[in-house]
Amino acid sequence: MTPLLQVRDLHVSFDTPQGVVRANAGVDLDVEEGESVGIMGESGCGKTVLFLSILGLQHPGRITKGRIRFDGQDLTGLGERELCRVRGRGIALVPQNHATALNPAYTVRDQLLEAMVVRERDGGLRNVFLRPDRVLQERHLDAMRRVFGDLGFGDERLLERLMQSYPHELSGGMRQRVLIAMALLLEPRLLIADEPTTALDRATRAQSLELLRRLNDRLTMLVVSHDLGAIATMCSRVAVMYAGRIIEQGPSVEVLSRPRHPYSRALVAAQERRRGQPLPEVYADTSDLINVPSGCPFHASCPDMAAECVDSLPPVHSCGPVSVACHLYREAS
Amino acid sequence: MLEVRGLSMHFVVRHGPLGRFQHPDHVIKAVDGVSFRVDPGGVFGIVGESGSGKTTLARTILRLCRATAGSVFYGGRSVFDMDAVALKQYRREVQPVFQDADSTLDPRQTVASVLEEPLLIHGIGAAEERRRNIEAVMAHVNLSRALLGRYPSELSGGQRQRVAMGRALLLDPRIIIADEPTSGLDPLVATQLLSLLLRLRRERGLSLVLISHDLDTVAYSADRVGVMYRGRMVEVIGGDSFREGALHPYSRVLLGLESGVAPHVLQEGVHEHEHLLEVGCPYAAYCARHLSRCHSEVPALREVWPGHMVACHAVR
Repeated sequence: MTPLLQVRDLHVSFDTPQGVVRANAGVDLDVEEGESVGIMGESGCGKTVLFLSILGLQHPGRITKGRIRFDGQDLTGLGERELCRVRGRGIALVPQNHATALNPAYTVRDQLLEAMVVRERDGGLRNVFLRPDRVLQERHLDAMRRVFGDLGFGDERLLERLMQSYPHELSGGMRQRVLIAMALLLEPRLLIADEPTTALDRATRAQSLELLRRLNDRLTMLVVSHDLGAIATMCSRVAVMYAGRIIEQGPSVEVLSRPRHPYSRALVAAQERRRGQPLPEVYADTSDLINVPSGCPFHASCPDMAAECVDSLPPVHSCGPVSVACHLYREAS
Repeated sequence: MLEVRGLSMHFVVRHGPLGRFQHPDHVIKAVDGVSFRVDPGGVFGIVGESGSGKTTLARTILRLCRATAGSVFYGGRSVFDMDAVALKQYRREVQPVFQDADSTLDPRQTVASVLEEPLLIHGIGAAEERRRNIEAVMAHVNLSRALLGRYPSELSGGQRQRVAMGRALLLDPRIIIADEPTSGLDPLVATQLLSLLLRLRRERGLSLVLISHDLDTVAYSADRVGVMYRGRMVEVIGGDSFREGALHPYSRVLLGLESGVAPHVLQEGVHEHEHLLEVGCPYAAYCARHLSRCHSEVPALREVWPGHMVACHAVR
């Protein structure tokens, strides 16, 4: 069976006055139908560029090489109109910044309706502002009530108030849920969630996680997060990105409990807080996507660096259930 | 060093003529009778969910909003009675690092000019000395000098947060009030920033007020932890016993020591969440251990153990 989403050797670059930024430099990623995959890595490692490219939103970046196949269709060759058809019903995005993702001049109800109308028109951008007829609108509202019911808004009165609210009247956690609802209403085949939990407090985070975990059984998801706990709860598989490449990939339990790549080890260890003991040493950030160092991009900060790391880019070795791009694991494969 | 006594910050919500029909004007008690002390070289952690008043508390301490009641003492002087000169000195020695670095950096100023501004305002050093100062701070927060000429939009989130922290450190403050300094940052940068703050505390005797919803970070770094719930400090406890020794039912749910509904202030509508606060303990409706008293009488913060204070009728 071919995976729902298949990214092969994806290269995305940005031309800047300082030089060409290679934000993605050969990403390979598969997402099977019904699976949820987590992507972690530090800021600036290319996570966002990866999923923007999947949605065809990488502009002003350029896809210089590689393929993105979704549901048997190559997305890299599609024009704007065809892409609009894929966005939303095919792939929906829950953006990271809930504060700016909603239109401040519309009530929650109207923005959700708009999204549904656009979907109804098969991605066509024309006549978005024409209101649908009453019957249709009633059907949309029913769908909304159902989705919000799933999201924990059983109470009719509360929901009514939420629908009439403007985004600024809502807390971060609520806005986040409105965005999740908006994505779910489109009934996408793949949901991409960008940092669904980072800006939330403990209680809200737990709720959102629980919610996404429940949706998990029905949905195919790609979750971008730094939050190890979130990845562990939601994702069956995790990919670690560094300097525009996926350097380790495997079942999340395996990767999070026994990270193999020296960079993944540093990333997992950095979240440790043991009272009375010094904070974990964090390597100095040396990733430079313009003047990409030779060999393994991590070699300058790597505690296990060997001579070959400077000379050649490590290929992907499989190491049990995990695949690692590191010379250390050559023997294992 | 810094002492907060019975501090309250209430906001009055007024509705327009039509809205007033539906909802009477009401008061939101963002901060309500909060007291705590920050010792020299100490780290006071404040935890609580969003909407519990942590940020308003920080702003009130800095005199960025006018407190409704209570007082803040810094070095024995009342902050709210300071004249302009004293206040300027106070704001030099007590520096904030706000939650959202993006919005505290002027998009039209380069990093160098963002960092120079506080030095100019306080008239510190000649041009040459200012430049040296700025470079030293950049090295401290682990940013390359090449970034000095960039604008905030050309930096990553982590770099912006480090610029904001650098700006706070430039004036060599004695207290830093850090409101979610690491939220939204990746774990590597977050750990770097935290270790920077803790190193400064060791080396320069800097005191910290660390506001965060990251319980691990607070439990790791704070000497004393205050738990806030709906504007009130419901528990103050030593950092080493916080993780296991918290006694207030809300703290225990927050820490996952007891299961329970994590009540949600924000799920209730904007206009509603006040009624519950009027009488009794604000947490009573959700509390597994509530007594009849809890619904009629607001529990006061009292010492149950040396250095451990809890505001709960059910805790003996």
